[in-house]
Amino acid sequence: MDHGEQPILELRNISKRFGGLKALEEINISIETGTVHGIIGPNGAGKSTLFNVITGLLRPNSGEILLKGNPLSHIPPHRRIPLGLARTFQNIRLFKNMTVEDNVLVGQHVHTPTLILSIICGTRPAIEWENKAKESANTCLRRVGLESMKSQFARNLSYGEQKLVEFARALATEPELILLDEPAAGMNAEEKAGLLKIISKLRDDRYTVVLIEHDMRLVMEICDQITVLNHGKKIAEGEPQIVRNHPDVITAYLGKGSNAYAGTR
Amino acid sequence: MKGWDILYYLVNGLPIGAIYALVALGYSLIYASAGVLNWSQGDMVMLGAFIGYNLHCLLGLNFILALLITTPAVACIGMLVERIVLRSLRKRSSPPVNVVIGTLGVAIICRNLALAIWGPDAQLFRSPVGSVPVEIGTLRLFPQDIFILILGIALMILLQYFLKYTREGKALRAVAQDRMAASLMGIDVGKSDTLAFAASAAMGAVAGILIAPLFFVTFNMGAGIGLKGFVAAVVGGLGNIPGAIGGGFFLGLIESFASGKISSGYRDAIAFTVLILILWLKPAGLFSKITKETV
Amino acid sequence: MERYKSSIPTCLYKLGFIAVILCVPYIIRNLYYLHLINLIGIYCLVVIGLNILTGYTGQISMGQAGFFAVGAYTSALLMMKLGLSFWVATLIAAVVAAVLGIIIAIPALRLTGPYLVMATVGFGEIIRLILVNWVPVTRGAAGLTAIPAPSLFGFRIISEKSFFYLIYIVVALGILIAVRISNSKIGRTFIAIREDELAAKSMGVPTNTYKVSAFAISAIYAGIAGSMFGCFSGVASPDAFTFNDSVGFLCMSIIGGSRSIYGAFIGSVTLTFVSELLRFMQLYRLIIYGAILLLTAILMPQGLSGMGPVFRKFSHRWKGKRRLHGNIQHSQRKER
Repeated sequence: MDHGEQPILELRNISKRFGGLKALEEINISIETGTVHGIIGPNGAGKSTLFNVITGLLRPNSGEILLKGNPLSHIPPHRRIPLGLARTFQNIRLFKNMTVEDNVLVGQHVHTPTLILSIICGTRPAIEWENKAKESANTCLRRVGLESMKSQFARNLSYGEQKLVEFARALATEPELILLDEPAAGMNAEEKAGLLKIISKLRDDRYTVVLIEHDMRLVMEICDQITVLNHGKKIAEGEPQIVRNHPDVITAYLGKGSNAYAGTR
Repeated sequence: MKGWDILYYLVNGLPIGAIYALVALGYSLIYASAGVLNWSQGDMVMLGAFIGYNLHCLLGLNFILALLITTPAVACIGMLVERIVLRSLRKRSSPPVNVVIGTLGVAIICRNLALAIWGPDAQLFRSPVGSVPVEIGTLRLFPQDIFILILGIALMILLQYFLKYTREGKALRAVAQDRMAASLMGIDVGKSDTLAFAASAAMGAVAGILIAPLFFVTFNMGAGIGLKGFVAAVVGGLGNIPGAIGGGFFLGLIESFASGKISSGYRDAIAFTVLILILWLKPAGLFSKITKETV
Repeated sequence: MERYKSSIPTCLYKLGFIAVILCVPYIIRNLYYLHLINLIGIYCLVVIGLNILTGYTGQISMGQAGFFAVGAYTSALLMMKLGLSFWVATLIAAVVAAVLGIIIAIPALRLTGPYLVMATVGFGEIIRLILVNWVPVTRGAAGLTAIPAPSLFGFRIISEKSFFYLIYIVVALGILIAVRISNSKIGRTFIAIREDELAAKSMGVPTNTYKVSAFAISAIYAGIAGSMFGCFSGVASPDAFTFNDSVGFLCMSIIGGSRSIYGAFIGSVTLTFVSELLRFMQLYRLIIYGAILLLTAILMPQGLSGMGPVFRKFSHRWKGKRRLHGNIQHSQRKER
């Protein structure tokens, strides 16, 4: 059922209210397969809420989400993973007392069968599946450059490394669409450069990446498309060049009368 | 159900409910400030009952005087528990279940010290207000029950006043809201914990003296009543002060109805079933709002 | 090939260990001690289940005595009233316990921390009160007496020695299965739920199914242990399954280290022996027992089985010092 140019993710008129607060208002976004899509906006613009709605942790008050053309609305969060949707968190949510490898293995959960009898009897199939899962976990760790750290406890890693483990864990769910919530926050310049490389490699491999990020330089460099949110509304959308010079965006970020972003590059 | 019946259950349920509420307040206050469960709460009740018994029945002290000595004495024990046990546990950042086991150790120590001091026999504590019931129609009101209600409610009002209008009380509420922020604002969170433990122990002690004439005073009376108080606090929403009071009275009334209407043997089983069902419907207790975790 | 070589000595160790265990009833002639050892085995099974539930999955249960009681009463009643054999009765008891575990797990799914503690305490109490009050079936507070002994191929398991073999074969199987589960994908998922339920859910883990399974597994362990306990002691009365017993199981779990399967054994051995050793202190026994609980909770956040790394650190430091000392001596000698 390949429609050629069908978007991988489509949000139609998504609204979400918290009491009187309109966190998202009539959001329409369409994300093409194999692109890197940035979602930016000032604090409180509704970016993380948008991710929570897409992953199903929050239910929208109205609107529709389509993944590869299939509506997601009534699918609980954990069943959206096998459909090819994965995410990372703004505040790192690793399994701190597990090793890096085990963290990534949990990402493999939906792709390995749970052979209870085989596990109890210690027979071949369970061992083979476990080895297979470990192999692909290692592949994911290699992608983010942390294979050498796999037997460390997650809690002992640096902030930037922990972000990468989360990234690897999301990759381990074998997604087609990855949502990254502020992947570069807390990273140093070197780590950010590494992150850029990882993301562009993913794009080359036909993954679709959606990222929320505050680091404009990084966003402008990597994203094919950018959506700007402010106060729960979409105020601009398009290629980095267009968004950067959009008057509403400049107003939203810097207040009226500013023109600072025009010359950052 | 006839009006008299309802009154009968109310008269039976409210006094014991007040006792549960006092103990529940202890759990909730400590949970609000320190965020832990203190399993030695029931044994503060037992200690209150025993010290009161010693002073009032053995030494012949005036009841009010006995109450005034017992309460601060047990409050001091509560403070000691916080200073010695909780602080050592905090220092090692132990998981919550270790706090449960640690305070349980304290409970076992208290219980068996009481056994060593006062012996295994149940002691009779005569009611200071007499035991001749007042009869209204078919209802029989016992003076001790009325006494419990009056003193219990007075204490609850006092606690509300303390939390609302005193400096320390306000600090405690701030710690309950956000421990980290409170400490950044210069509030001594350790002091707030000590205060919560002391106040909880004091309320337990009063509950102990009040309930002593209804039951016998025994070294292991703390286990049962501590459990009931915990249940009341949880059902009201731990850390929620009005909730703990509501939970206490609610539990007292459920027990009264269950034992009157269905079977006294199954009283506690029915109470527990109702409470588990309530938690199923309202996982954060009857009087607290559910806060759904998001990111 | 290399793997094959290295596995020979471990195999020998294992065989040796099994041989030593098999000899225990011949080494320990004192029937009272053997009785205690048997009890430890039974407790150990309950605590293994509890460790999977509490230590691995992070769901605190203070109502484990309820499942233990259900196991004991179900199998005893099946054997006495329907004349079923011990083995069939135990199997049914395990199933009944598992069903109850699933039932209590349903409200528990939405609960955390103290709220979960309350629900499990309530469950344990409800079971105990049913045992006390359902007199026609359970004979009330007096309890069941003369529970028949198990038999295997016509051989009746009735002496302490024969019970030792029955109990420890089950314990060995129980440990083996629990270790396999905990080292598998299932165990990993349990730990992930303990560490961060929401993150686990976001990785596609059906957290509710796993939490219910953890309750069921712990109930099965407690149910089988209860069934053996009934036959072993010949009687079952409600006061053997109180809140205090639930708390005792939790203490064993914490003291041994709830995040390890072997911790269950360490915990049940330690607590049972400590409480026996303190018997001579009579009145002060429980005071000291309480103090031990308190100190363990404070000093050993991970329980005894979590002390391994600490010991290693100490021994490293000691070895390091010795080496340093040796080096100094060496260099001094050189200077001379």
